[in-house]
Amino acid sequence: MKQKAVIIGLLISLTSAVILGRLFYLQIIDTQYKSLALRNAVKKEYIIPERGYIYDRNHKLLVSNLPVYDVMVVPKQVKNFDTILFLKYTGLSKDALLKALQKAKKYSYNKASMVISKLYKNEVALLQEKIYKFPGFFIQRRAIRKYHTRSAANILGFIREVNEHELKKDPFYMPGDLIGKSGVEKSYEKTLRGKKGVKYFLTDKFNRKIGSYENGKYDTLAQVGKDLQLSIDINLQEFGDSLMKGKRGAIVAIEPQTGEILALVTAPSFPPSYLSGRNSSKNFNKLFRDKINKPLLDRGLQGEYPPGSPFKMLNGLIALQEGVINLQTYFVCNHGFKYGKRAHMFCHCGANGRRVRLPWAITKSCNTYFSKSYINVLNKYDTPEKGIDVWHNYLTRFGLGRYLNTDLPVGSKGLIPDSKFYNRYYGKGKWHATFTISNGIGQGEVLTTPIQLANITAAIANKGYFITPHVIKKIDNDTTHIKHLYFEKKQTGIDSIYFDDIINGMAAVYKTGTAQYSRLKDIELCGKTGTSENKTRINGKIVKLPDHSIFIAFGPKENPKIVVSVFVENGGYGATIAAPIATLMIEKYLKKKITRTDLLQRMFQTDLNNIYQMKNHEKQ
Amino acid sequence: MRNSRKASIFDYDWLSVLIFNLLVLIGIVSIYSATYQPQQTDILQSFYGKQTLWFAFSYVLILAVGFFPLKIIKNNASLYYLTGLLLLILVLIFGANINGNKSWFRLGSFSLQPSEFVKLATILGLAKLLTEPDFKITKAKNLLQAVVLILTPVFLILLQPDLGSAIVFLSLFLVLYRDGLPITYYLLAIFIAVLFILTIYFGQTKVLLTVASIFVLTNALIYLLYKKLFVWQTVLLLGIAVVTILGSSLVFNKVLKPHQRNRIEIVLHKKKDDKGTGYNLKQALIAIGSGGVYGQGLLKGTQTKGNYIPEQHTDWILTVVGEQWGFVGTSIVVLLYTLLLLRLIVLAERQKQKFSRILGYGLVSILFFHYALNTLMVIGLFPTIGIPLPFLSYGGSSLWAFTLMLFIFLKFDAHRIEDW
Repeated sequence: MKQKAVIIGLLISLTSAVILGRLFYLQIIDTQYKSLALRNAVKKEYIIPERGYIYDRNHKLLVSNLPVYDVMVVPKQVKNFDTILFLKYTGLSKDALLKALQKAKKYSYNKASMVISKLYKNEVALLQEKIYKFPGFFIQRRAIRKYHTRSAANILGFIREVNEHELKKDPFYMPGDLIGKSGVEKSYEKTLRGKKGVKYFLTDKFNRKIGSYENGKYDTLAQVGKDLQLSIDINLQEFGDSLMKGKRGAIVAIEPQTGEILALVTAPSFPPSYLSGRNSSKNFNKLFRDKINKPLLDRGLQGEYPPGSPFKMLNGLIALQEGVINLQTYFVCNHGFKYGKRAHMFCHCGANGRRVRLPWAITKSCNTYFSKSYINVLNKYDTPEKGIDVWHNYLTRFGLGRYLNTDLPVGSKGLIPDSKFYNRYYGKGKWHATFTISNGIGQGEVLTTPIQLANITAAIANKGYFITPHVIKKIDNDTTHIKHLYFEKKQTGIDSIYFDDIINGMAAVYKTGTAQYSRLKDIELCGKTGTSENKTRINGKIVKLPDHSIFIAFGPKENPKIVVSVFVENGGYGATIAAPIATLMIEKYLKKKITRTDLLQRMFQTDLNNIYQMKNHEKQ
Repeated sequence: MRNSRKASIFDYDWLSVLIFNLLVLIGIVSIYSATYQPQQTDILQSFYGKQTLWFAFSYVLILAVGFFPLKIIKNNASLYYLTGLLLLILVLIFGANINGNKSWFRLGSFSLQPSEFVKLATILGLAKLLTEPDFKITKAKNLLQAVVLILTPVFLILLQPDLGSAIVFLSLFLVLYRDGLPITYYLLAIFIAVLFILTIYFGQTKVLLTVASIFVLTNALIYLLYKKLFVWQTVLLLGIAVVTILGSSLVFNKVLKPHQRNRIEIVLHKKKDDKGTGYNLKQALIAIGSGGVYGQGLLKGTQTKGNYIPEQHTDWILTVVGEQWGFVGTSIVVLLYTLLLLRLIVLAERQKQKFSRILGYGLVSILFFHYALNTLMVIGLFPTIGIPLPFLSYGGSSLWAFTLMLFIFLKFDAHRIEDW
């Protein structure tokens, strides 16, 4: 009989052993349940920090944040509510409400959807007080950008909700987060966005919060985004905008010693608030679809144009550095010269068969002088391939034909042809230096952007070096986190002694040359006009359109404070529009006020839209 | 009689009483954590407050048992059994319908589950039957009597229907084993159970072929070694096997309800249904598994706090222990049960009277099944079935029924040397 008791006892003990073994496995060996438990019960909530502010170089606030309120709805929690009252409080139409509710239900029954977005504080005040009357609805606060200027949309950029691609690329973002899409909002996104805070909550099985997790041991605080101080002078920028009214083109102003961009005007433009606020999506589409005016194109950074005459100075500098010309070198110019059987380079410098030397050649923009200097540089070497690559190398060091690496997210390379380019075009060994003669006067294949032109002007003003142009000045009042690149002097490879003659020539442009009617009485300026031809086809006939008007300038001549490049599409001769605009910009910056109001008025009134209409007509 | 009553208080087995108290206290703490609501002020409205009250009242019952003459218990055993059956019939007629089950009498705010007390009544009835003069379990007629006695309440409870409570009564066959029913029956039962599980797991054909080939091979081997053939035994066993295998799929697919089928398949890992039928088990495993070695501490368990486990304060109470006190907590509960059960076997074996020994084994069997099936269910080794964990799970009926069972036996044990 006792034996059976032992067997029953063993049965019990064995069962307990199995239970203990299983418990040991579940609780100690298998760790998956711990993470499953956390996934069940602990939910994260992010605290979005305030985005950093943006100031101009004089500490003027350009961009801050504005709280706006979204009315949200969770369809599952909606009960019968007073629709008329709701419509009264929100100003929504009945159709719009029904549509929004339908859309919300379609998206998710349990998750919140937006009914009305971006209401301002005064618009939401009434509803906020009575929101308890509308179960299922709640008001969510968020911030949009508030702009304190109507200018500089191309520099400041705008923010939008992240898209799927960005979500995948950076785990920082969650659906609905905002991200900089252009301008400094994009290039300094990581600086401006700050650091999100995290709060952990315990939730019950209905996903309701039931308290903090571990008393907030793992919670982190949000870190406000850092403020940016830009090198932009917003007064100058706005002034540039007003000058460019009715025109297409760009103005770029740079402080040559530092490479700081003072103004980066593109026209036509739009106020930055256009892409913030309630209608931002609609507005963006409107701007995006405008293929004629291309307001989203930053012509200062992206517009590629033949540089025209200002390019001649580079050819002069290269020729001097290469030793193929000096101050005594002269070329005879007789309304140009013949360089082939039927090839003739025209010139209207007015030398009329006399000898032309530097710096007069610059002042009068002599085509003969610079194309011959250019040919001499190429002919210094055994083959035009070698010669043109030497030439190309200099220009690359001036920041041409490549990206400048500014701290704005867009840009264009422009084009400086090299031997490969012509070998591809003509075939290897099948071309001569004279084939490329237009390069000598900044026409032909050469293309530059207005910021590249401003940058070479800075290099000339600095007599041999430049600092990569940039718009950042300080981050949270501190320069330590600014890229080293924006402090680095980039040498152009041209000795500083050669610059004096060029600069003297440029100064004479204001005294006796093309820009003499724009000159300032008390400050000596240096400049160079440019004109680049362009044609279009109207009703099948090629019609010559007014030239693009180009001007580069810097001042004062001694210890230059500002360089400016101006490009006005179809503005005509360089001296008529571009030169006055550039000079007015310099005057505005150096003297803070404009004395020549007649000139200013003339610029304001110049409207080229009738010419643009002609072009548009053809394109359509 | 007079003498015995005086001596009795100190003669109660202190170890069993201690474990009883510990288990109930662990239960109350666990119920407290499982149903904790910070804003609740009325303690008597709370589950742990009520359970504490039931616990206090169980001492009234213990006291009553102390004053209740053993002779009356023994002599009226058949009466209790029949009263129990009557209650089971009455509950089918007058019982409150809760979730489709007619298991409860409801008197105002108070409910009583008669099946809990019928366990005690059946043990008493069985003890009475087995101690009848000339009763021999090996006699077919007596065996039939015992089987009918056990299965009648099972049948009535299945009508409620309450599968969990019904299954527990089958534990009483352990008592018959102790009292002389040959082990062959039990081996046969195990054989059938194993075949049932294998058939569900591997399918009819595979098991049929495997079993048939095993039979042929063993017979061939035995013949080669001993030059002997067990023809009729083989045929009988093979017949049982074939009937079981064929019957298994039939029972599984036709008799069991879909949710019962699901639960069996989930335990066998043939199916995953974490959102539906398997939700409870999945959440239970998460809660227990997240406890680790020492657990997360009182009121710290995230799963318990978030109410992820339905019925956590009743059948799934072990998950609270597991999450809050970890492996240390659960193994203490398991060891307390094991110790209590082994101790009760020792007590049963030292009885002079057959009646009280059967009482002891009845208690051990019922308690063991409850403990084993509940625990195995919670850790995913047995299909989900409604069986509470005695002493720990919330509920007055269960607590009182087990208190009565335990203390009646302990009283018999305390008076074992006397001839009552």
